[in-house]
Amino acid sequence: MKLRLLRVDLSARNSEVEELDQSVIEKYVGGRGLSSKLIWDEVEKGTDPLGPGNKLVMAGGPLTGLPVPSSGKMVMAAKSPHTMGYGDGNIGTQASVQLRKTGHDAVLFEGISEDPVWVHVDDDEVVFKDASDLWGKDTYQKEDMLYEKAGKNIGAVMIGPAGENLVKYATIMSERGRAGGRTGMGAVMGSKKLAAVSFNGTQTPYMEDEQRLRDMAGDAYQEISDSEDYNFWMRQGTMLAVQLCNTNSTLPVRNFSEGIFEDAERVDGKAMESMKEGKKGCPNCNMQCGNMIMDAEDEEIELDYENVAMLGPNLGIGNLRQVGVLNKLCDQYGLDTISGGSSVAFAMEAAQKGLIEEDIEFGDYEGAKQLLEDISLRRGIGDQLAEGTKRTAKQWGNESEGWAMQIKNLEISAYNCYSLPGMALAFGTSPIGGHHKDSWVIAWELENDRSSYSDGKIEEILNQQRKRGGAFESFTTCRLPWIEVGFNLDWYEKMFEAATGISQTWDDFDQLGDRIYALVRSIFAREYGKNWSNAMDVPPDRWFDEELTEGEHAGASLDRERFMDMLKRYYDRRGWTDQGVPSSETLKELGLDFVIPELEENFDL
Amino acid sequence: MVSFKILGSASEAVGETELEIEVNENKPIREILPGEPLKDELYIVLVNGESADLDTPVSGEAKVVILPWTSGG
Ligand code: SF4
Repeated sequence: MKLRLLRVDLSARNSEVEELDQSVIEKYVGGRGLSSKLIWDEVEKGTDPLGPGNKLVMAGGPLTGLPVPSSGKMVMAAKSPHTMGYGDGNIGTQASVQLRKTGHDAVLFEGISEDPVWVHVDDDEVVFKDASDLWGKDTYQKEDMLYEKAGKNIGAVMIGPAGENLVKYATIMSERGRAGGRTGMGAVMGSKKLAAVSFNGTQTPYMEDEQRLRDMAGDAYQEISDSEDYNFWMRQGTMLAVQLCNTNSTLPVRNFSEGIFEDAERVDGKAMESMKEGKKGCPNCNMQCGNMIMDAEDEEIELDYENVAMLGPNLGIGNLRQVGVLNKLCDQYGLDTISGGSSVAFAMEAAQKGLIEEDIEFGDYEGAKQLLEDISLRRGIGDQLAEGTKRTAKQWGNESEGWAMQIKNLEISAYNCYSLPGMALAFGTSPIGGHHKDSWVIAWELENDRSSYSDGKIEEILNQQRKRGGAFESFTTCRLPWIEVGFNLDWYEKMFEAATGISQTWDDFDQLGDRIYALVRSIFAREYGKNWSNAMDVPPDRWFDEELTEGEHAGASLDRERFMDMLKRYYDRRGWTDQGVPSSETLKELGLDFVIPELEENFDL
Repeated sequence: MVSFKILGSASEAVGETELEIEVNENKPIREILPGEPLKDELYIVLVNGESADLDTPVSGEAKVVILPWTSGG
């Protein structure tokens, strides 16, 4: 099997196909693995992430779009304008399936278009379409216009006004609510004047042994729907986490100042079930997790946990239908709900503390609406907040950086870690900044000496980072079937072999995860050079210097010394230096010798 | 009263999401709960915030939380 990479030059308006041979699949698989290799190779140190030198990858993998559970995902990656390192995100959309049906596995966009452009890939044909009428429209309007012009069979991704206005955490959107690339991949699209990308294919993606894969698929899907957890998952999906977090004092409340919320029951999974109108999800998935309700403006909105927690309790808002409106605004503007929610919460706290004069406070639904719009359109203080909480804190001063809830500039997703050292480390060492997707160890921590800084927690983080951050992101399939409904990992070895003809075990996939982590970390280290240190992996001061004041865990906070010791032990297990840069020995073991010369310019490896 | 918070799929087996049961003498959690028996490997059990299991004996004012293995949002 070969990977077919479509290279699209937006400056010259031409394209070509590059075939990557099997060794690339064996070493990087696809998705995040392939993207990180392309970004290392092709985006030079110091490249302006919003300039012509940055490259935007949209990558499926060998399992994308095949008869494989939850395989409707693709990864979108570039140098991040938010973190200034490697950035990516995955998105579940028909565009992933259609991408592979066009006979391509990944697309790489380079250069910058002079005028707004919509790139349509129709099997082998790449068409550059004028997008001046799409520019300025929200993502719902854009998608309707795309369907009208190209038919409803296309799979499309697009940006909204936030991406056009280069908001640092603008996302790429699809299908009214599917979002990905919270590291500012929407801004990268905006900088390239790339309004939308659509795919329409008629080919069958490569399968080494199609019959075997199809035979397996029936049993694999059945195993998922037979799971004892399946029924409840279908009822609430990720929304269970509201109650779980509130019960355990880990909900982000009022800019992460507390871990329990007085109105949690009004925004939790049970409340959602009482309003539920239907379900929505990614292609090829039989455990669809998007839950539809009518929002406070009587329009349908898809909810899941992160959005609800960051736009509800974290803003002091306890009305699920109002949260739905805030979620919808973010989706329409193409603004990340997590960073958007965190930025609004930051402004609310700043106003409360008298750092800014704006009249906005926790619980202020109308104020939150206005501010999300101002951020997307870069109006007033929205223009500052569009740069993210850390950059804004530098301007607003008064030690506000301590409660700018971010890591590597990326706002932390919806888990409050005063009493969770392991999850704090998982956030700190997430490869893209403060994100939960690779490693979510809260359940494990609750069961295994919650307050400890143990080696066991480090092992669990590594295990999840390898599998969720390495293998699943590269296959590309959703991470959720494994733990949520206990889908057996053995399936992936078999499905991978039937799809590619390449026999790999979980030991190989785990090593892939380590390789990707070392490569992504190398991109950050190369970019930051002398400015890189282990401080980049440390959560904000709030979790160390303040404490929870309410609930069963009142008084809890992280211990800085013990956290730093745990971080060092994590580096040791990864074979990274005390500053968190992969050692030359580790790089050689992982087949990444090629990064050593550039890293040695700044680091003693 | 021993209070129970039962989350996710565990609540479907037990048939309740919250319970208060008078337990005067120590008794294993699994013997107190109504409904279908819970499978150990599927759930995390906390008693007064500390890790426990379905065989942990409870009584008096104990607070029990039972939640499924999950992996976040
Ligand atoms: S479980 Fe949810 S996020 Fe994962 S593929 Fe299915 S619908 Fe998408």
